[in-house]
Amino acid sequence: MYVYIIGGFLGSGKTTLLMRLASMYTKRGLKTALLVNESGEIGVDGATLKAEGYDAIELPNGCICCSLSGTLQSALQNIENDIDPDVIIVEPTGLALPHKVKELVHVSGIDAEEMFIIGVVDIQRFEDLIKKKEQFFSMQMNHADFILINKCDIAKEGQIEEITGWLKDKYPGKPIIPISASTGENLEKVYEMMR
Amino acid sequence: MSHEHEHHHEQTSLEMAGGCAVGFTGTINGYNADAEARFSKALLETGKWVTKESGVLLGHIKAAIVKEDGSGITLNLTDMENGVEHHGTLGPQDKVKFSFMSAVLDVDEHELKHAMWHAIDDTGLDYELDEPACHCHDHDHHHHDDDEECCCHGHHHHDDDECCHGHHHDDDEGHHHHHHDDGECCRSHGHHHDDDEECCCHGHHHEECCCDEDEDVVVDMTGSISGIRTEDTVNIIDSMDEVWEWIEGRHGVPEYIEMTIAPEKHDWATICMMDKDFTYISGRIPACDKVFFRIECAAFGVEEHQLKHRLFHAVEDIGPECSVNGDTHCHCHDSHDEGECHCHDHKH
Repeated sequence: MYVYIIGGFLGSGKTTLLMRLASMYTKRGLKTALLVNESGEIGVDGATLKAEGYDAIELPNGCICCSLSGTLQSALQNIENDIDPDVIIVEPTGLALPHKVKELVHVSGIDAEEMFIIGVVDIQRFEDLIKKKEQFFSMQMNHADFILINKCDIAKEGQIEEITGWLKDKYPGKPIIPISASTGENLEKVYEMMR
Repeated sequence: MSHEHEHHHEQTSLEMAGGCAVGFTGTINGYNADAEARFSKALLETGKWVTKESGVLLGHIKAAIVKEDGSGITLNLTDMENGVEHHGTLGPQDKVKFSFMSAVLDVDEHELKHAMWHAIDDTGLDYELDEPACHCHDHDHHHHDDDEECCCHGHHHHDDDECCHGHHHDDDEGHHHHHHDDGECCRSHGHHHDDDEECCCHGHHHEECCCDEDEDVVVDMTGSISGIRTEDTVNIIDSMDEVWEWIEGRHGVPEYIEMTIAPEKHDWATICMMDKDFTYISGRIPACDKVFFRIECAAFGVEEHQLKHRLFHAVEDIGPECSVNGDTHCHCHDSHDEGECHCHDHKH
């Protein structure tokens, strides 16, 4: 069983990417479980997924990297026992630290062969986020196995190159792929990298 | 030895980011495309509030509107320029449930929730919350015995049974307009009627009513609007409302105002105001760089050029950049040397 954790700030397009990945794995004939976490007591992403025809396990009202860490571990054990999927895709809140989630998955005792963190960067609000919360952004991206620059379909001229350069400087050696989870642009490169 | 460690609180990631997440649930009665647009506007208003408070919207404002079986639509605002994204479709429903949540940075949690309450309250939606809202909303349609005014939203309360939120009260015949003992017409166009029996609202069938003597004026104009969004549907309805009120204010009788929006790569949408209390919406306005439109208005008792002028301004008031018949502004304002526009002067 492989576990993918989609990390990235609020509104970076994690849920849209999650749906793309779920479709891709379904086409490959793999059993996939989706686990979605939202920080507010009111969950909306579950409804988004349902509206698009996906079933997901929702963990609202807290963050799975801190306040809901116990709930995450129970949920993962239940998923393994009840569904026994080939792939689990975890979408923490946009305010979670993905490496902490990875640690919790690791200690949950589920039989995960490998775990990956996918870092998602929102091209549209990259500048604002770096200006206001660079430290938090770095904490989210530091442990990513690869970084996707999302929403490239609405990028301004030169923006993709500029942000790619910035990320390469900051995270040398990490694969950085500009994509659009919404239009599907460049996603085949991401699929190739996934087990 | 210090006992500091006993009081140590490990910061959550939410605290590290300086974020907060709040939300509430409720039900909407009479859900339709208009309600969807109004809800969308609540998200946008919340987004504006966050932007004002923290300088930029970093985070997301979301809503799910679902039927009993959980199917429905979601609305998502992450970028003010991009507007509210709509996922899924949901036809007209008697009752739907909704979840409305925001997870954003650098604002006060309680103030955010308060702003969200007000944003939804100001939409005019017929809604109920599952939890008590802020105390501003606690007036629960209380009526006053005297001329005391309610301070809640600047609404006036009266010493009769009028509701403070403009809810209409039906008469025995099911009409929404109230009739007066002095023979005043409920359309407020100032005509006098012999008795209080007949309603003048829709047929103008009063013996001495002079409405029919007025000429039927129909004006239309076409043009384009740049940067339109779904939530501009509410602005269009508000603009139509203003035209409607303008006609009535000039003792005219509006018949209908209809606007067709034709995006290049999407289906057309039509918004038609048939009555002050009834607007028909067909289709949905997508977020588009540019759309073409046609607006038509029919009314009795107003002058054609003045109605056209008012309609031009109504299109301007929608918000995004517009061009009407190739003009980006109304030329009525160009010709006055004194710098004063008389176009809006009411005729009496």
